[in-house]
Amino acid sequence: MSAPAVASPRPTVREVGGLRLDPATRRVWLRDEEMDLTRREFAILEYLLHHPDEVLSKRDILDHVWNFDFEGDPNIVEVYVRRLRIKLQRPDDGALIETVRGAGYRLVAVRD
Amino acid sequence: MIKRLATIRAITTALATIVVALALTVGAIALVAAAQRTMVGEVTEAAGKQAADVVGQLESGRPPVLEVSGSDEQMVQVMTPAGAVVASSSNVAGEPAVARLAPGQSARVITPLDNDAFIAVAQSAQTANGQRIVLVARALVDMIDTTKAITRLLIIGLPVMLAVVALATWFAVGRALAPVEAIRREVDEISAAQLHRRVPQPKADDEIGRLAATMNLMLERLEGARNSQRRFVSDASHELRSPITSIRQHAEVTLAHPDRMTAQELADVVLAEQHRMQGLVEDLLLLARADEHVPPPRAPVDLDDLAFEEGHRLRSTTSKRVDTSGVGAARVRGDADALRRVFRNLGENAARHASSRVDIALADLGDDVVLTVDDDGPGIPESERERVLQRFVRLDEARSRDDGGSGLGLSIVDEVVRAHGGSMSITRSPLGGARIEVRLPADEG
Repeated sequence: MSAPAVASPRPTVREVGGLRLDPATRRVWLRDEEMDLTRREFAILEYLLHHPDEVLSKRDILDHVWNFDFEGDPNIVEVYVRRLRIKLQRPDDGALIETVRGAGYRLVAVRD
Repeated sequence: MIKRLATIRAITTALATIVVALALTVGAIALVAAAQRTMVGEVTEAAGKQAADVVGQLESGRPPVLEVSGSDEQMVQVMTPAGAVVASSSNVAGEPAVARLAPGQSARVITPLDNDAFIAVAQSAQTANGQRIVLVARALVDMIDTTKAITRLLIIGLPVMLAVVALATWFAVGRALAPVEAIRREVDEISAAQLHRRVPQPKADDEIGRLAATMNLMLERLEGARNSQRRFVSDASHELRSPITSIRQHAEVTLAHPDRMTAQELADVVLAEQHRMQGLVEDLLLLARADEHVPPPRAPVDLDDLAFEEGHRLRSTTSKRVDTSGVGAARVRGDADALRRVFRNLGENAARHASSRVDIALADLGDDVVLTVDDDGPGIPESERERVLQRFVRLDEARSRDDGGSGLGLSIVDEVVRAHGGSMSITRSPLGGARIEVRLPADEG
């Protein structure tokens, strides 16, 4: 149910672009503003932040963020990604979730 | 209250009486003043006319007619401008001038005739012997009599009229307030044990009639609340009695026949019953809170998470096949714990009645999110669909209680869903059993 356990005993703060996530306190900041995320949104973002610039398929996300025995409508991933994108939509975006057609999603830092 | 009622009555009566008394007094004074003014005018005019006659006679050189009819109500004097009386009516013969008035003037004077007020009018005449002043005085006796008559009438009439007004007001107000007193007496007597009683309803649809109707509606609501509370308490006690009895019986058996039951077995029984009681008490607390109608918190809750959670739980606790393939993303705002309880109760209810399969589905329809829980059990007959939402209602009493159902599950779902602004309905499932559908307002964004 929960996000995959982080290997190191003291989970490290992850940062991509202006997006910063602290697994210990389960808090996320975009630039310096704290984001208000649900548990599932946090888990997806945490997974994406573990694999920046990597293409992650819907199945990968389902397996890691939900469960290997996920039994639901796989479109659920799209809904959550769409919600995350809305929350990431700010001027001077630090990071965005790209759709890689036919393959999946990729978190990239935006440099301007 | 009786004192207060009497006070309203007394105040109203006193006010009405005072107002009428003031109005009558002012009216009487105005009436007397108007009558006096008219009469003074008439007497003055008559006196002036008589004086003019005498002047005419003096100026033509004829001997003037100075005699008067009513000897104590009229008098005439003819005098020199210096005030010396040269002639007079016989009733004032030899008397000095009663007043020194300039010609054309009139005034109230006192005459030697009696103590009543007179009006005197003076006119000037030119005779062969020089100027003369003719003074005619007439008593205002009619006016005084009339004033006296009116005053006497008022002195007797005013108290009588005021008494009539006071009595009429007293009885009218008493009559109007009588239903209030009857309602008060009835409410006073209605104790908590007699909420079936109603206050007397006056026939008229006036303020008091509406008050009685409102009070009766309130009593009806009180009675309904009292009844449901009483039923709830009695049901709750009944539910708690069976685990308590079971624990006692097993403990007694263990004490009487230590060989029949081991401490381990007793502990198992006690734990199982404790579990049942704890669940029941938690349910009762939840319902009690729901009855307080405290609005739930408005945090975003991902219902799909709760649906998967419940699917997992059911798969690990039952042998029924649990299908969550119809679960899509759906977010609402509310109390995550209470909503988790909705999924748990619906899942448990479906699993209890299903013969082999439970389907949980969740869809976001835009404005609403819809949760459906299906089972392939016997279903719920249409006539029972309303009833199963009531507290402590089970379709199959003996069987369900052993399965651990408290009879509160669906009532709790109903309460939580309603608190979240949603609705719940029971229909027939395509699987053959019951379908419970819950609609909740979706969280935008």
